[in-house]
Amino acid sequence: MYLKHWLLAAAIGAVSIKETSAQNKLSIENIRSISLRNSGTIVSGEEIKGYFYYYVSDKVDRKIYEYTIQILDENLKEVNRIVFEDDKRELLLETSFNGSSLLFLFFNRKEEMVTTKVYGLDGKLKATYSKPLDKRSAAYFASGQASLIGDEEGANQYIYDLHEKGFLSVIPLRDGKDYSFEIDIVHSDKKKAITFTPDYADYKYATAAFLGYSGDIALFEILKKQKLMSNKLEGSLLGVNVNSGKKVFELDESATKYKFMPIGVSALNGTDEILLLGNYYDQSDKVVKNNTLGIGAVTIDSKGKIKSQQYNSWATDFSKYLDVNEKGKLDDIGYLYFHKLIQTEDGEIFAVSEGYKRTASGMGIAMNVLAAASGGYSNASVTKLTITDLLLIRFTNQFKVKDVQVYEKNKNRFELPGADFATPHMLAAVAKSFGAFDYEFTRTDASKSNFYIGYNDYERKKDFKGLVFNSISYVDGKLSTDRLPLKSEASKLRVMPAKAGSILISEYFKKSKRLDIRMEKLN
Amino acid sequence: MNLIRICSLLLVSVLPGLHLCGQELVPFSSNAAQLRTPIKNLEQRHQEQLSRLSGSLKNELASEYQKRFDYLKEIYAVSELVTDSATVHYLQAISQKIIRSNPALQNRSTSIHFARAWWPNAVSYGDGTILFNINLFSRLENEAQAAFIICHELAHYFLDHSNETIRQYVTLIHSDHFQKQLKTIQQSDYRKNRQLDQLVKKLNYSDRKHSRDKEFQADSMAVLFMAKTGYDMRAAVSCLGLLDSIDKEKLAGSLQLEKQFHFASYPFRQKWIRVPGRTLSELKAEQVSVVDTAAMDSLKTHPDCSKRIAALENEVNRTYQENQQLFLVDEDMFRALQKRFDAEQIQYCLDKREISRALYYSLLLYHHYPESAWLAATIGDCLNQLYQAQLDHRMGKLIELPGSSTNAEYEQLLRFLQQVRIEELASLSYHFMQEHASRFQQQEKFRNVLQQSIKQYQSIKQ
Repeated sequence: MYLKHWLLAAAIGAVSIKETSAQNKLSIENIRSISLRNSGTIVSGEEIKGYFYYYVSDKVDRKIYEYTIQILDENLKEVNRIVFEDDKRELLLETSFNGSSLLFLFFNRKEEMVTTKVYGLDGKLKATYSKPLDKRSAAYFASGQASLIGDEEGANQYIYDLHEKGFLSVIPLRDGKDYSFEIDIVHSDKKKAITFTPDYADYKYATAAFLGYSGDIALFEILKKQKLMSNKLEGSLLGVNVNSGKKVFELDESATKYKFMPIGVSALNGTDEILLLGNYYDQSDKVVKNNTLGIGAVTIDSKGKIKSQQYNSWATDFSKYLDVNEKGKLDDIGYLYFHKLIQTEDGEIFAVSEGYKRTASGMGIAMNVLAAASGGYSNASVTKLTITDLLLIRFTNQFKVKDVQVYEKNKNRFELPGADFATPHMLAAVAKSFGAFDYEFTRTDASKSNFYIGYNDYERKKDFKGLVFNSISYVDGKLSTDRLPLKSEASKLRVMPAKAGSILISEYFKKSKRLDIRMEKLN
Repeated sequence: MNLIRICSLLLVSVLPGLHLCGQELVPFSSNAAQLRTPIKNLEQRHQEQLSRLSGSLKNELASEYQKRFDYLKEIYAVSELVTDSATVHYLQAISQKIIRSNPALQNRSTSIHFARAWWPNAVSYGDGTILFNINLFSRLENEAQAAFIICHELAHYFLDHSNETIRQYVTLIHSDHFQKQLKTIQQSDYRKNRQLDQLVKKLNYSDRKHSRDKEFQADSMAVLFMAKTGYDMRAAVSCLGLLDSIDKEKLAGSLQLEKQFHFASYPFRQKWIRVPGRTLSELKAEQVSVVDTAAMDSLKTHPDCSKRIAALENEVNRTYQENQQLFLVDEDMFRALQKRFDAEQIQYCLDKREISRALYYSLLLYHHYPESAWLAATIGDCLNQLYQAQLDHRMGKLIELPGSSTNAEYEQLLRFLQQVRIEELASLSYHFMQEHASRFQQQEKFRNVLQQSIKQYQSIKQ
């Protein structure tokens, strides 16, 4: 969307000359034209360090535009404006900060090129790396299908900071009918990027999701299939040395007692080991088809050697706190989709999850009945995915279930053609990639002692009907909740993640073409 | 933005003596009746200015004057001015002393007011309206320095600087040459904004240069006006000499959150003022050390004070006489007003819903006036307003964010407001008010705030 943005218009050029009084006279403001291409957060690890606004600030010629990236810090103070010229189709996808430099990831569909640019905070370009993509890879990249991270607000999908070591990017690729990826590591102190390309000759499909890094090892969750149409998805844990760009280990599913699908990673407090947290299944189970057995914690060393593994099952460990059957299905809530695992400074672990279950679709059934009555056929699904409550599960530092909090919210429905033939778990995975869950984001403060979870709920109350932003705060060891009805005189209101403990409220007033942004603390 | 020129910015760094402890600090009450005549006069001056317009750009000039008039009418309408009778009369007395001593000023219609704003400034709008911010006044050492500031603004008016700038602006933007430049840019397919930027930059450089020249002219004329008043001419130099400390708060060093918000039953928590990790702005400041001082200087609207002093010194020495006085109207009133203005600017911040700033000034002042029930009540009131706003997620509209100021103490308060949680705000208000309840409960405002604090505290304890 193109949006006039007063912040830039007000500041560029420190214009002292304004509109002329006579209608037939020209004025500077009437001629100037600036358009916003997109905006987003600047992330560094788990923290929001600021925001970027990406503008087309001028047209240089038929093919080249001048762009301005306005950078604001976490307190909305302008840090810099980076001005450069590039192809008119250049899109800025993501930004990351590693403590000293900013990395920008650009994509040009027409030129079939992914470009990363590293800038200092002084606005000076330090390095540029371009990666040509073939047509199919470009289309695959543009589709966004390759991202496993999904829809979390304020979380990157392609580029990640490695603190003082630099950055890495995960670029999805397509070669003929083969889907793969490459990992590019940009070192802060070197003028070149190292590329890691996996060797999955026997697989037609492979994707990588960055889980995090510890020491010199970057960890990725790999999902791969030997045949494109197969539903036999194999998972593995890939460790890549960020200095050399070489594979250190790759643990397949059978390396652990159960089939283990990590969704979070962190350095184990006080050791050089890495803690992985995730769902687990029976070794013979299919990940998107079968139910999870519970949540597992696996620790590995820097060479990928498994040091410990512990599992909390629905059947025994969780049933003390929730009405849950051995399949992991909870009464009323359904199954759990895990969005985030957080390890706090004191070693305690929190899992943020949301319930889902397959239910009948009134609309789908009605469409089928109507179609049948008229002698026709409807492809509307008679089932749908119903997204239920949000749950926060607390574990001890020994990974024993300590408590489960259920945060009730109104049911949210996700319908998809062909849903009748998919398992609820498959539907949940699709729902996640479509951003259909109500969960929005989790922010942890730098000390990892406090965290904040944001989610939406559509309320239908007597006194209020509409979207409500909710938060769960964990501060000083205590949990509290907050509720912010998203109702305003603005034409559009958006809540974005901000520094830990705050949210950014953006209000756009269509009539006056004004965008107000302000920071608000969570209660 | 209206084309309104800020014609002067002067301040002093030396604190006036805070020797009025024991007297109650309260802001002025609003007296709308006091503004009836000035508003009438404002309209009259506007009509007079319009009637003097002629030439081919008469309508365009009239349009700019109308914008100025509308802006000033708004200033009069929204309680921007001090309306207390004694204060108004005091300022009039100083102003009249200057005007009566200078026949050249006597046939001009002027309207000089104290503006309630918290930043140090004085402005001459070109139609005879001069606004003297109370914050600037409260930093001065003597009446003679105030007289120099008024002389400086009257000089801008006398030399018609503001109207001349409007005329130059209107003439320029309606000139064939300028319109042709704009038309060329408009018709360009490419690089429109860059061409506009270059045009604006050229104009800004030229405009700012003229602006600095006008400051020298106004200083020079101000000395001539002042020399006839009997005020001590050396005040002109001492006044300019204080300009460099513009960023330093008058009561700097008085913010003591750890003491002011520490209570036996609710101790201060260091985490409230913890300095978080460095922001991108702070990291950038560490990386970028080279500043283009030449470019910065050329964009200044005012010349350096050292240059202004050097330009004035000879004339000041020539006109100085031993019998000249630092106070000619009322020294006691001068001192009393300085104290009163400190409270008044807090009330101004409250009226403008700038609560972080109101709280900041209140805490600074309370350190010097711990017997002020009004200040104690205001601190409690600020905390209560922030609590209520935070409940509705509107606190962001009442406070500034860290990084918005160069003042380290204010930054500390802004960090504090970011880090203190809602129930802690309620607790702080409650304990602060309770701590002072035995002394100030007789005061109505204090009682009302205390009741609110108790109510809030009870609600978080439920």
